[in-house]
Amino acid sequence: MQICCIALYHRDGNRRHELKFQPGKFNVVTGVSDTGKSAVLEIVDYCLGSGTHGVYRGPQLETIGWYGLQLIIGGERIFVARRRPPIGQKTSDHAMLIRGGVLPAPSKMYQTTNIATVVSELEKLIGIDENLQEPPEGSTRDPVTAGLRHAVPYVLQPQRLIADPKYLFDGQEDNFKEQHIRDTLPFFLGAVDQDSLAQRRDLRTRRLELRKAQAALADSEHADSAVIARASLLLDEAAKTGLINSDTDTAVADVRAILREAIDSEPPEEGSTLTGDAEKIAALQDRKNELGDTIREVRAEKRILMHRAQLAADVATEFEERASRLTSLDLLPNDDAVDEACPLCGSDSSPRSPAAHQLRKELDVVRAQTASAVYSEPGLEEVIDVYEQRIQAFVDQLETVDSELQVLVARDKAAAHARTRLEQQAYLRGRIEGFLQEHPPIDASEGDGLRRQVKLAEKRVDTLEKLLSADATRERTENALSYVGADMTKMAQRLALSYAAEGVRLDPVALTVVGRDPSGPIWLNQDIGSGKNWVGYHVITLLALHRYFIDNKRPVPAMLLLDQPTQAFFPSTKRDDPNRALGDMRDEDQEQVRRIFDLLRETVSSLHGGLQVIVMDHAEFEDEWFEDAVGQNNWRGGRGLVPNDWYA
Amino acid sequence: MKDWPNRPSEHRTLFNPAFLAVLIADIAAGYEDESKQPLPYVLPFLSVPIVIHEPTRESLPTIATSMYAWLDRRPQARVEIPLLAPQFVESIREAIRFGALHDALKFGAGGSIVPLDLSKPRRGSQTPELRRCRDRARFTGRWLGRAGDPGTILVAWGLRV
Repeated sequence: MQICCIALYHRDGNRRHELKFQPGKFNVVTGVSDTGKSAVLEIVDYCLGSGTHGVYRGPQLETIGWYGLQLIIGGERIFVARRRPPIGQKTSDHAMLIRGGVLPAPSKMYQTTNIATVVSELEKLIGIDENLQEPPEGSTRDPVTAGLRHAVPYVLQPQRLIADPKYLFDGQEDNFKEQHIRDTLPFFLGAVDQDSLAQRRDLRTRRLELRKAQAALADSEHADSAVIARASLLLDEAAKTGLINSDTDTAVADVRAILREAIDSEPPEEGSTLTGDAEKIAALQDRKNELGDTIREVRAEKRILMHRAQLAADVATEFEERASRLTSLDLLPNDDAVDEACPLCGSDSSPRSPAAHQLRKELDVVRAQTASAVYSEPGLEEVIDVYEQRIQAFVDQLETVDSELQVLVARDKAAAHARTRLEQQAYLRGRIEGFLQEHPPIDASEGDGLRRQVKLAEKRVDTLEKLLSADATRERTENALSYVGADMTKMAQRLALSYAAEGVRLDPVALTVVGRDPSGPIWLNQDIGSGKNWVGYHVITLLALHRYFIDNKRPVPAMLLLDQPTQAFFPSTKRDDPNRALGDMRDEDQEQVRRIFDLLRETVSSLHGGLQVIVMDHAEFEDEWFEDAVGQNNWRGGRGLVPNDWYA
Repeated sequence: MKDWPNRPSEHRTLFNPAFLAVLIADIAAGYEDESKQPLPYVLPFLSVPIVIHEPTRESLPTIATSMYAWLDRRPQARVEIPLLAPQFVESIREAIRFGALHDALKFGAGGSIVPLDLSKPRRGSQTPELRRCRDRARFTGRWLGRAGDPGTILVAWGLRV
């Protein structure tokens, strides 16, 4: 990506002003005014998606409505534009992107997209594809995806930065931004290349495979022990039900063989007593019930008879007593007396007491009654006896049947028990058969196979992890930076920068230049040396990086914008003088400045259009190359970023 | 009291005058043994029901037990006997005459009853129940003989003359 021109659109929608640059060449913008020049970097940053509009204000800039940037990326012209924020706003999202690069007419500036989309499109065009920078293990940082914004620090060197010893890159004073630079430098150097995403996916897959293989191995080992346990249980049952000898050694390793033998053995013959008893028993039970019923009936009849006999007996008893009491007459000494008069009072009027003979008559009657009462139930006693005998006979029969029944039942129980046992054995056989089928012995070779798979998966994971490890990245980063450092050293020695005699390099963690002096390494950010030195180091570092990016086709915008690199070389009294000129410098400083510009020119030309450098500076050189470099961009004589008539 | 042919059969047989007369003679004999006095005329009307009422008869105590104490213990006797006794008054009066007529007993002073000798029966043996009744009759006589004056006895049994 390089800049063809910057297009400024007047707020009024009528006017457009262009600042033309030459891609792939060394460009200089020279001129009087300080504002304006620095605004160029701000405008480029803004059009490439910076979060805020630049700090530069001023009447000139307030006339601008839209900032446009015509870029050339991979041979194609792309126009991007972003609206200047309206008054009161810090930024604006409104943007445009036109492929083909024709500059739109001033009246045609309106939002067609937003800046985030523009950035995304530019990323695609440059070739910053998906990438994910994973922080080193143990770090608490989230992985960072390198984007266009992370490449901007290699592009812009604002005025306040270019002579700063502490910070090498734009935005480094912000901790988060510095961290992002640190995290994304390896990517831009190609130490983490585009393939890592695919490799990471691959690693995830391999890790999954490894886990699966490990699980399968564990399962098979576990399953085997569980299976053995179940087999032992079955063996116990087989011993209990008599399927195998109970003294068989079940602790022997091959339980399966024992089980197989158990079910292959012949089942025993069924006993002949096993059938038929049930019917007999049933028949006897019925007979028993019959007899019971019969006995009950006969007993009931006997009871009736006995009741009748008892009644008769009672009646007989009563009659006997009557007879007996009547015989009291015989107790009386004189039974022939005739009652005529009361012996007490001699009167005759009381009713006649019975005479003795009347009592005797009474007795005879009673006696007759008694006799007949006894004989009115002829043979009752005999009948009762017969019943008794019958009952007894039935009871005897019942006892016989009962004892027969008991014998049969006992035999039947034994048979049932034997039957149950056979059933149990048969059932157990079935279970053992099923078990043996379900759990064929695990081949030793199968276990080996699983183990091999695990090893293979482990190896694959290992390889990928090595490829992707942060260590590998660090190594490759260091490797890349060694080239960068070699380049830096050459340039530093050419510029006769201090501490460069024994080599300088870029420290990717400290994000600063490291040189050497007799006492050891010197870090630029230790504030050693002078501003002139630091400018040199900024320049050579960025040039070396860009050379590396370009040689290795890295997706970094191939442009470098330097803002006021010579300022540090002016005497301090002249530094802010808008009219300062090269002649104001000391000779050796002039020399140094020339060297820097020469270096810039030569680097650009050695890259054959691969790099565009744009220098915004006050210094003017008489040389021809300088005029070529400036082109139209001489802002002396009142010209500036914005045409005078825009704000006059 | 009806004429002999018209009486209920129990009265003609179980409670015939010969039987009752024998009992009265036995009671008088027991009374005389104990108290050395002839049986007062009123006492057969109490004592005969006692003997012929089987539950009362069979719950009589020994001679040592005081009649009044026994009556306290067994209050139903004072209900049952007073209910029974009036039904036998005529029979007992007749039995006394019958007994006198047939020399089972004779009268003493004030109409009291003196037993005559019944130890020689003319024929047959007695049933166990008959023997039991006679034995209890004798006991009752003795028991009454120890119990004091007839009026007090009657009141104790709940009888009114």
